[in-house]
Amino acid sequence: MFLKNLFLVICGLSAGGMVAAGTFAFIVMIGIFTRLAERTRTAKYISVYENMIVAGGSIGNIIYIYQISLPLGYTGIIVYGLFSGVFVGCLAMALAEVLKVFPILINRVGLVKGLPYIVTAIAAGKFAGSLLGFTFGGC
Amino acid sequence: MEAYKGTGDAYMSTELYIKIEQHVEVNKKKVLLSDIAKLHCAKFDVAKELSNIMILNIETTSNSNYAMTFMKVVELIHRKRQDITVINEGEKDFIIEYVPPQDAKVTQNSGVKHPAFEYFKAVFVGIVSFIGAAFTIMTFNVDVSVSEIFDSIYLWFMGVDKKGSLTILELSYCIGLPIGIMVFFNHFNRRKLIMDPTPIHVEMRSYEKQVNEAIIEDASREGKTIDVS
Repeated sequence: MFLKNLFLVICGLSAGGMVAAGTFAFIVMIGIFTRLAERTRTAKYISVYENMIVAGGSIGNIIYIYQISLPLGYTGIIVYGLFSGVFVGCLAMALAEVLKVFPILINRVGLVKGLPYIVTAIAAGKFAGSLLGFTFGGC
Repeated sequence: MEAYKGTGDAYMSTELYIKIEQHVEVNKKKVLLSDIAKLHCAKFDVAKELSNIMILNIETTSNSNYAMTFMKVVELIHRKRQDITVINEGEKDFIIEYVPPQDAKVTQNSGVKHPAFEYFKAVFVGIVSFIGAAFTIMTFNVDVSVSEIFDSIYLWFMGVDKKGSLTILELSYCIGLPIGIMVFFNHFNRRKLIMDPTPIHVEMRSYEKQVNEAIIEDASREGKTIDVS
């Protein structure tokens, strides 16, 4: 029994470690936090941000696995929704950028001007899309 | 022949080694060579003389970028002294960023004019990092059905179905995850943290480099680079 439990512990620890390495390497290498720190000119707080990522990842995981209830009401929902929205927005754009969607598109279409409008249009499209999706279901 | 050798020494060209970083920040309007470059010359007086060459006269009072080629620097040096061989130990193209003196102090200290606003931004990014990381791991867990996989693993190892209950396996996963993240960020060894940059630091530097290169390329395409005519 002890041996079996030991196996489980080893399995869980290594699964956690590898998942963390993979997932967090992904969000770091895609450059979300870099970009946020650069834009806000707060590069000297990077270690704080890293600590927040460590805390967020660990606590979020515990909350999900143990299904802990957080009775924070509307404030909690709004804060969580808003900031996870900001994060996913950055993630989606960073992903598009890493995959070089826009340079290729602009090159193909032969676009010279109006890049800011495209960015605005993408943001508006994301907003409309998520609003529609959530309102009428399906996502 | 002997006499000729003697005069040859007098005309021996002097080598000047210059190193310029890709991105140089200046606070004054009359930019001298010594403000943007590191100079070395076997003859110290030559280096001293040439360090006072005026490179750029900035006309605006606001924060601005100037792209410049190394060739232009060589030209300016040769205008003053023809007998110098300039050896480049730095970048071929570089950016001179003019930061007005009144902004410079705050930039060096904090990055913005109001410390309270800066803390606000840092807190904002901190919360985005925290909730974003939490969101990422939750979506990942749902995406790959971690709970179901744990059910299967438990069944293989223990021979009984745990039917979705929480066991030591989940506990280990919750412990292993922070360990994994901290190993990735190299947060275990405090002493090492100072010496080794973390992945975000590395990303930050490579991003800055890409931005610099983009500014240089843009200026070159628009013909705004300060170059030899």
